[in-house]
Amino acid sequence: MEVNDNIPAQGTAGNDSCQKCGIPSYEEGYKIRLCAPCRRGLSRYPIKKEVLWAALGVGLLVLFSLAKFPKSFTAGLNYERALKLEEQHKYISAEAALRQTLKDYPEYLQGACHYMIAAYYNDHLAEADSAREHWAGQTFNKEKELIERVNEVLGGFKNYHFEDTAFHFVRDSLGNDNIAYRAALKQYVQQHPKDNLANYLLADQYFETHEYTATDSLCGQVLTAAPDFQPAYGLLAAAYREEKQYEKATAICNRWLKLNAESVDAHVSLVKILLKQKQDKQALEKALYAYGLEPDNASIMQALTLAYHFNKQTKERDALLARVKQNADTSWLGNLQGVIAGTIPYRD
Amino acid sequence: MFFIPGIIITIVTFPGVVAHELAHQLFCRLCGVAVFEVKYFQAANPAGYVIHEPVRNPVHQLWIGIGPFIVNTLLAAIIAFPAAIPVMKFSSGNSLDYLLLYLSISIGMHAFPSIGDAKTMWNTLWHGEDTPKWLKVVTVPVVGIIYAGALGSFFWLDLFYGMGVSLGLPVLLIKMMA
Repeated sequence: MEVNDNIPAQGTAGNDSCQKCGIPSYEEGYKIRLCAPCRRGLSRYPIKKEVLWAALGVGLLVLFSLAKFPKSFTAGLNYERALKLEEQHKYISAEAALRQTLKDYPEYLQGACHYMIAAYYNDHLAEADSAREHWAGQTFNKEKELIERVNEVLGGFKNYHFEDTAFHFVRDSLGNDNIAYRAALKQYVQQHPKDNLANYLLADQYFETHEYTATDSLCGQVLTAAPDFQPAYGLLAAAYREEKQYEKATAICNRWLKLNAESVDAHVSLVKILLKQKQDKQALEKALYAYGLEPDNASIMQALTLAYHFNKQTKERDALLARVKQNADTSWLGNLQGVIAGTIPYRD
Repeated sequence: MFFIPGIIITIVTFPGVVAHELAHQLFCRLCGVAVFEVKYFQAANPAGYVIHEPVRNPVHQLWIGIGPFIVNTLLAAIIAFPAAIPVMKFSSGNSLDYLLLYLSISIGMHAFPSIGDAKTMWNTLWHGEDTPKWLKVVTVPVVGIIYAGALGSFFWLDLFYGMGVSLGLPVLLIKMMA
């Protein structure tokens, strides 16, 4: 930018006339004498055609690029939201947001890592495992903290497998012979006392036969060795609940919720504890919250049906019960119908 | 820190020079100041210029002087926005994204007014008889910042600014909105 005090004289300018066109009037206050139309004309100095065409071209490119902008913007927003949700241990919401991001950017490695973490904490192990496909053969050194978390989760996967993989076949071969399975499991645990999955499954066996002290002991052992192994929290809370140790059961659920603030199973456990304590209104509130998180989850549908039942909301109960019947997981349906019919006692 | 002759940087980032001069021209038009000549780009020093008449209202000189800072920054941000997210967040940019980012960074790099702009502002505003005191007070830091920016360009400050506007701003905005 430069300032020029002179203008090449174009008219026959005198001292009292416009230096450009020579008419005998000019605007006061300027160093260069120009009439208003000449000044306006010069201020609108023409822009070169090449520059205009280039600007138009850039404008078109930007417009073209804007067509895909909503997709990338939403994906970016979902990703950042997911990171914040993950920090708050709200893994259900984080997983949903990351699923959206990966739908648009399936090759995004960091997104796949965070998705795996969220899915793992939601006990969606198949989804967590599928996320691993994204980083096959890729090197990734940028975010050490993320790598450490991924490694933690990968370590956690081991808790869902027997140390001795052959025992999977033993279990499958025993089919529905529960007595033989229990005996084999006991023997296996004696041989592999640090196998978290086996200890958990044995605890589950004890729970089924109402041996709650043994359940408590084994679950405690598992949770000391693997504090992220969430199924053990559910079993331990259920054992305390059945022993009517409601405070302890609630404390376990709260520990579980610190691990995953949106754990549907932890909320379902709390709903059952509250119903046992005849705190029906609070149970319904919690059940509705959990239902909002995962409306298609069978266990929350069943817990909400129970909560409706004890709150005497029969219309809502029956509507939900109809949905429970259509669900693939009807494992608890008989019990649920028994409790509703009054043939199975649920609480004192 | 490595040294690349200024003329090479200017040639590589010529879209920014064009936008810079267009910004001066635009503010001349908005302020009704007569323009006598515009050079959008040349491979010489200065790389571009706008020759205009002395202003009647000293505030107009300030606007014309800082015009490129406003226009180039806005243009750089707008051009970069759709391209920056796929490249910066998802490492999945295509050639159009990279072209837009090149344009955006080039334009952002030339947002700072030049030393020539600062000299013109200083001569017109600080030494101007009609300049109100408040405007003289405003002029000092503005010219100071321009000189600091020119000094900083030895350390690639202009490049960092261009990258900040083009790459950092969209990512920051998304983080704030999330």
